[in-house]
Parts: sequence; C-alpha cells; structure tokens
Amino acid sequence: MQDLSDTAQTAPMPALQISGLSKSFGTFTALKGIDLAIEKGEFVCFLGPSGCGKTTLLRAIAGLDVQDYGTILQNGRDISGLPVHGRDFGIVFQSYALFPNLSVARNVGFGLRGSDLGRQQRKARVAELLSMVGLDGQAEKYPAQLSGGQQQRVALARALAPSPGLLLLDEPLSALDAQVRLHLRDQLRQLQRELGVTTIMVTHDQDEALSIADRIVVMRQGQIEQIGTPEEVFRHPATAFVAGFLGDMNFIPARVQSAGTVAVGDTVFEVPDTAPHAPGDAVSLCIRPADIMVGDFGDDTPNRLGATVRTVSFRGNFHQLSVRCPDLAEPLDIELRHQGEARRRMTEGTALDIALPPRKLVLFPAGG
Amino acid sequence: MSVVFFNSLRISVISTAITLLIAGVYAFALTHSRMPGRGFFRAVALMPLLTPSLLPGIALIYLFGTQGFFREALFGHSLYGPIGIVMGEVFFTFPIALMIVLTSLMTIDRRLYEAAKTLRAGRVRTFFTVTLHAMRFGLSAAFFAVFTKVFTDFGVPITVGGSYPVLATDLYQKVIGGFDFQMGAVVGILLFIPAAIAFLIGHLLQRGHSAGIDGSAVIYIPEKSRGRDIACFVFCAAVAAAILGILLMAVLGSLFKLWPYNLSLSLASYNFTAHESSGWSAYGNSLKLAGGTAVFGTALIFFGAYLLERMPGAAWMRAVIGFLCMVPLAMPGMVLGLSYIFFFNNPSNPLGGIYGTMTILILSTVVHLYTVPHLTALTSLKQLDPGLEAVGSSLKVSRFVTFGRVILPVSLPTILRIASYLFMNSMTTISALVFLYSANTKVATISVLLLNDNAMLGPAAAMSVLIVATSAAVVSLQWLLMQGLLRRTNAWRGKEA
Amino acid sequence: MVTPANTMDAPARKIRVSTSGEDLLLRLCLIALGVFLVVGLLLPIYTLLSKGVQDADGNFVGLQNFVT
Repeated sequence: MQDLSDTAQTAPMPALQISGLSKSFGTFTALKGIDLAIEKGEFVCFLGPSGCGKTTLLRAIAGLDVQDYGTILQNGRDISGLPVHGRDFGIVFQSYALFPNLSVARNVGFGLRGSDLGRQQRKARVAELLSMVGLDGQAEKYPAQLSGGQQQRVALARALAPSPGLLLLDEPLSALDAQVRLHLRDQLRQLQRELGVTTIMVTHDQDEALSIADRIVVMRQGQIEQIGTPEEVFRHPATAFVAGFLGDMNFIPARVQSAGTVAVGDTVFEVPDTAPHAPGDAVSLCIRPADIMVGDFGDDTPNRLGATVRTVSFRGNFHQLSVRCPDLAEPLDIELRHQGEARRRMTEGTALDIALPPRKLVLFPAGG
Repeated sequence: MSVVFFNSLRISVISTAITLLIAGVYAFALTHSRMPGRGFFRAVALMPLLTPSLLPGIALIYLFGTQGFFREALFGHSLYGPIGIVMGEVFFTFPIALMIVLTSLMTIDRRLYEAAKTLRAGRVRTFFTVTLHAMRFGLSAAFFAVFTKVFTDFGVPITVGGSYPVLATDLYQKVIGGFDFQMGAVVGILLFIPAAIAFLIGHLLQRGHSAGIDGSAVIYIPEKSRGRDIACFVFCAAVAAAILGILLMAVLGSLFKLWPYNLSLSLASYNFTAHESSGWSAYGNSLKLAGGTAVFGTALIFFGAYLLERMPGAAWMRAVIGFLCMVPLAMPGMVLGLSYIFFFNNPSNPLGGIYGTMTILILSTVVHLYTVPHLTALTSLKQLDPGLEAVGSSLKVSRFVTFGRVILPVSLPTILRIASYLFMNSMTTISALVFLYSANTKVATISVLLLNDNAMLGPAAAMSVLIVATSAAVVSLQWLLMQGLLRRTNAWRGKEA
Repeated sequence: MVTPANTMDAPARKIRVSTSGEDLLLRLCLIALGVFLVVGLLLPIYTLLSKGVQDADGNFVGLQNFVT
C-alpha cells in the first residue's frame, strides 16, 4: 500500500521524515526533539541502552504512543496525528503477539481479509509468505506448537502480508537463543533485501546493529547521539558515548599540549587532529583495544610506551590483556590477536612494548 | 439503636473468630499433612457456597430447635438467638475463609522448610516462623472478608435469630414491617459503613501482600507423620460431617410428612402449589432471574473489563469507572436493595417504571454481584499479550473483529466461569431482593423466607433443597462444558488445564 | 559521519490524534458502562445517604438520627 504521492519531485522523497519529535510521560522526557530521515528500502537500527527512547520513538512512528510535539511524514504524507490503522506499516513485537487460537495460516492471513483479494488469492499469498520465511508445511500448526524462531517468522510473515510501506521491529530477536538469533538475523537481512521494504529495528545489541543495518541511529537519554553507517559509527564515533557503546574503548584522561600533541602526565602523544580542542583543554584520549600494537618497535615509532601486564585472559580468537603504563592512571585494555605477533607466553608482570598508532586515536571532551 | 449495632458487632466478631480457627486448622490439614481423602474434604468444604444463607438456619431448627432432634446438646439454651446465628454463620462463611487461607498456605516455598531444617529448627519453631507467618496475611484478609459477610448477612438471623435483633433483621422489620423508611435509611447506613471500612482494609492488605503463586516457588510436600495425619483426619472428618450433616438434615427435613409429629417420608413438602399461592412460579422466577443475570451480567462485565483493560486512551475515565466497579463489593445487598427503593420508587424518577418488575431484580443483582467477576475478567484479560490489538490495528482489522476472532475465543473459559458464578449466586441471593420483589416476581429464596415465617418448615426446606440442587446442577454443567471446551481447544492452548 | 541532529523548535503544536468512528463507538460503550454504574450504584447510594441525614419531612438534620 505505497502512497503514490504527487508529481514533480526532483529528489526522491524520504520514506520517513521525522522533525522535532518530543514526548514526555508525566515529568519524564522520553524523546527530545528528534530529527531523522530514512530512505526507501533502508534497514535502519535504533540502538541504545535501556531507557534511551528507542522503543518510544518506534511506537510514536507506529502511532501506538503518539508524540507530544513534532511531525512525521511518510512518503510526504503527514501521518503525525493519524491513528494506528490509518498508517501504513507492519509491526513485530518482542513477544510476537501471535493470535494463539488461530493457525499459522490464519495468523498470516489476518490482515488480508479486508483487501480485495479473493479466497484463492489470499491462500496463495499466505503460502508465498510462508515459503519466503521458510515455514512451508507449517500452515496448519498453532503458535503454541512452534519454536521461538518459528513463531518469530510467523509474526514477520503476518506483518509483511499486506505489503506495508514500512516494517517496524521491536527487539524481535531478543527472546531467542544465541544460535537461533544469529541464524535469523541473516535471514531477516536477506528477506529485507529481497523485498526492499523500508525497515526500522530497535535493538540494544550492538553486534546485531553493526551486522544488519544500513545505518544506525545511536540514541541516549531521548536524543540522537549519531546517525551513520556501521563503519562510520564504529570507526568515527561522534561522541564519547558512541565510542564506548559500540565495541570496547580505552578512555585516557589527557590535556592538549599543542596542535597535534596531547600530554598524559609526562608522556606526550602524537595526535593527528586535535581541532576543535585548544591547547590546555582537558580531553579523553581514546583508542580501541584492538588497535593498540604490541611488539618490538623502532625508535621512530610514534606513541611508543612501555607496559607491564596486569592480567591475561584467553578468549579463543584473541588474548585480552590489561596492562599498566607509567603516567597512565588507569590500566589499558588490549586485544591481542595472533597474526604475526611474537607468541610469547605472557603472564602477570611481563614487560611489553606497545604503540598507539596516531591515526587510531580519537579525542573527546573530558567527561563527555 | 446502639444495642442492635453492638449485637451485630458481637455476633460478627465471635463467628469470625470461630470460623477462622476452624478454617485455619482445616487448611493446614489440607496442605501440610498426608491424610487420605484430601480431595474429598476439599470438595465438601466448598459445598456451603451452593446454599442460600437461609438453609443452615432451617437445618439448625430441625437439629437444635425446640423440637429438634438434638435439642439437649444446647444444655437448655435456646437455638434462637446468638447461638443459632453464630452456628449458621460459621457454616455459611467457612468456605470463604478456607479459600483465602488455603491460597496463602499453598504458596509457601518448600525451600523455606528445607532451610529451617538445615538450621536445625524444631517442628514447633518451624511452624511458628514459616507456616504461621505465611498464614498471617491469609488470616487477616479472611478476617475482613468473613466479618463483612456475617455483619451484613440477613438469611441466618431471620431464620434463627429469634428476638435477638441485629442490623440486618432490624432493617427488615423497620422497612417491611413498619414502613419506617426514614429509620430504615439510618440502619442501612449503619450497616454500610463498617462493611465499607472492612472492605477497604481487606483490600489494602491484599495489595500489600502480593499473593499469587510465584513461578519459581517449589510446592511443599509434607514429610511423613502418622500422628499428625491421624489428628488432621479426625478433625477434618468432624468438620466435613458437620457440613454434610446440615445439608442432609435440610434434605431430610424436606421429606418429613409433618415434622415433628409425622416423620414418615414423602414428597408432600415439594407440592408448592398446595402450600403457597405462587406455587412453583417462585422457582421459575429464580431461574429467570439467574438466567437474566448470567446472560446480561456476563456480557456487561466481560465487555466492560475489556474496555477498561485493553482500550487505549481515556485514562481518567477508565480509572474512575474502574474504581466504581469495586464499590459493589463494599455494599451489603440489603443496603443496595433499600437504596433502590429510595431511588427508583420515586414518582419523579423516569426509570421508576422498572420498580416491581423482574428488570429491577436483575439490575440490582448484577450490580450486587459485579465486582468478583469483574476482577476475574480483568485478571484473565491482563494475561493476554498486550500487542494483540496493536497488531490487529496495524493490519487494518477492525477492533471488533479482533475482539470476536481472538479475544473472545481465547477468553471462553473465563466467560464460562463468570456466567456460572453469576447464575449460582443469583439462585442463592436474598438480601437485595427482599425489598424489591413484588407479587409476581417472587423468587425462590423469598418463598423460603415467607414459608418459614408461616411456620411451614417442610416446604421451606424443600424449596431450599431445590435451590441447592439447581446450584449443584449448574456447577456440574459448568464443569462438563469446561472439560469439553478445554479438550477441543487443547491444540492451541498447549498444556493449559 | 553525520552529526547528531536534535532540534527544539518553537512553535510547538500539541498533537491531537484524529479518532475514527470505531474509536468513538468504543468510547461511547465505555461511557455507557459509566452511566450504568452511576445509575445503578452511585445515585441510589447517594439517595440513601441523603435520606439518612434528613428527618421525616425532608429537612436536613445531619447526624441527629444516629445519636440514639
């Protein structure tokens, strides 16, 4: 049910355009002035910790918890004040909300009754959908007889049956076992690519968001911290929060010494881009544990440090090290992978040479 | 006035204390012993729920009245008065107390006892710290429920109260006997206030202690103890015998040709047309009342609960109406009936036309019985996935279609339970109706009352037995329907029984 | 990299959701339930309470009736 809105548009209209969206529950502000544009066919993830407002935002888009202020345009059509049934979307809840007394086929076909499709056509459509989600032959089963993963797929098929313009997923994979979750994650992505339906998924799992999304909207305390592709938010986090939320991150309290250098106690680090911070500013010097290099370095290696191992733990694909460095108040976390590294036995007390590659360093305002 | 009030108070406290004691031990025996016949004892304990509150009084007259078979057992005291009232009320309120205390005992986690054992606590100590502690809330909730029931009850005191006045009978005399509506209102209010207070306290108590089976609690299986089991068995057998004795006495009483002179058995008492002008129509009216209440009440209460629980928006309206739905439980039936006289039997009231008809009886009964089925419906509706309606709306399916295709079928067991609750209680209720019936809407319970007034004990017993039999038939029917329903829908209910 | 985009612009219009016919019908049913409870419960109780504080002629006498 695509809204074929009018004519001469030079740029393609975003599938969803949100402006100035705000919502409060009593004295608690859940969303503060959200602006967001989602393109047709995109798979967007709303990512953030509990209470950040991601589910509230999703529900506002659905019309389940209408916003207090702000507008929502779907394909140019203002849906801000429309009731749920006046909007064009399909939804899958964390609990699936399957109709327990109806068969899988009846569940999936529930939204097709009102359309102009005849009985045979509806049956065909249901069969097509079941096949698409890999549930051939389950049509006459009841939800209680299915596994969690199967139930989720029924919910998905049901939501997609009327070919909605928007698919909303509220933590659909959270209730599943790890193995099933990974498998379904890929299936979901594939299905979405095939159908090309604009999709928004809410999740608190950053692995999920990074692997499945075209763009990620990182949220915190009712506001958007950053919007970007998975690579963008991971490699170039806009704020300290995003840096810490996606993947592990070392935060080193430091002070800008001059343009291009940052001091931590007596140690000076070369940092390619210290703007917009001025000399004297307190900053957090950040680097990912996986980016810290361990080995024998020449004197011309920038940002070289001596370190002493505090703890080592084996994580299968890598070793997780915690090391102490002079001048650094807190220990650094290092992820040591085994390609080409000296396979020395490391234990508590081992002395190491480490280096922090300048281009892997990021600066954030202190306390950010 | 104050004499009557304190009479009511005294009776209520005494019978509540006795009932709680018996129910407490009985509940302990059912859950903390291995005595045989626990299922049987449990079933017998619930039987008084099927009876109108007039029945125990009538049975007691046969047993301990001036011509009673065991009148010596009272050591010369008269049955008519506080003794009879207390005995009748204990019988009548026993199942209510038992169910509440039973719930609190059944939810005790077995691991508490195991912990006590590893800490080497003696049996007595364990009893006090674990068992009695868990019973505390049950007992206090039961206290207020039973107290209210006894304080406001009419059926027992009117049959065996004699000349010992309590508020309920006093109200009846003033209004029906003396047409003193003014003082009737006053007595009604005196009846209402303590009931409302007791209801409020009981309600707050239940809130504070979140009862209900905790999913992770492991049910306690008592260890072996022959002595304890024997003691429990003897106790429960005595109580069960008393309950069955009263029921059997009523049946027997209805079969005597002319008690106390002619004890040969016959069905003469059941020939109602001979004893009373309305004859069998009273029974017919009861069926009409019960049927009307069940049909109209179930639809209203269930759909009402649905609107309150699962409709978005209109928050303050739903909160206010939700509160109103709880009020009937604080209202004694007689007070409701009386207030209906004031409100509907008023020439300036456009709805006054319903006064004296079956409609006002059904209306008053539905309101009177509203709260318990309402809470049952709410609980059941809360368990449905909250996203069901949202999904339906997103699929552009009408709310009513979603209601009819999903909510209703899934809730059928609850609807059945509500309907049978309403039917059964309408058959046995009297308090609201005693002021609202007219010549052609006389119901069975009223008929019992009038027959007893006219010293026609046999027919009164007969009509009471008929009422009990009907209730029992309805319970059995409901059980059968429920089994069939659950079996047919087992496929999608999974393991729900 | 896209910078965070949050705006709080005035003027802010409070959103009012348009109600469909169906929602209206449900709301009416709710009101009907409310009316039922008011007529069947509240008004009769009120009548009773007011009668209790009046004397035989309908004059307000407060708690005098309860003194005895």
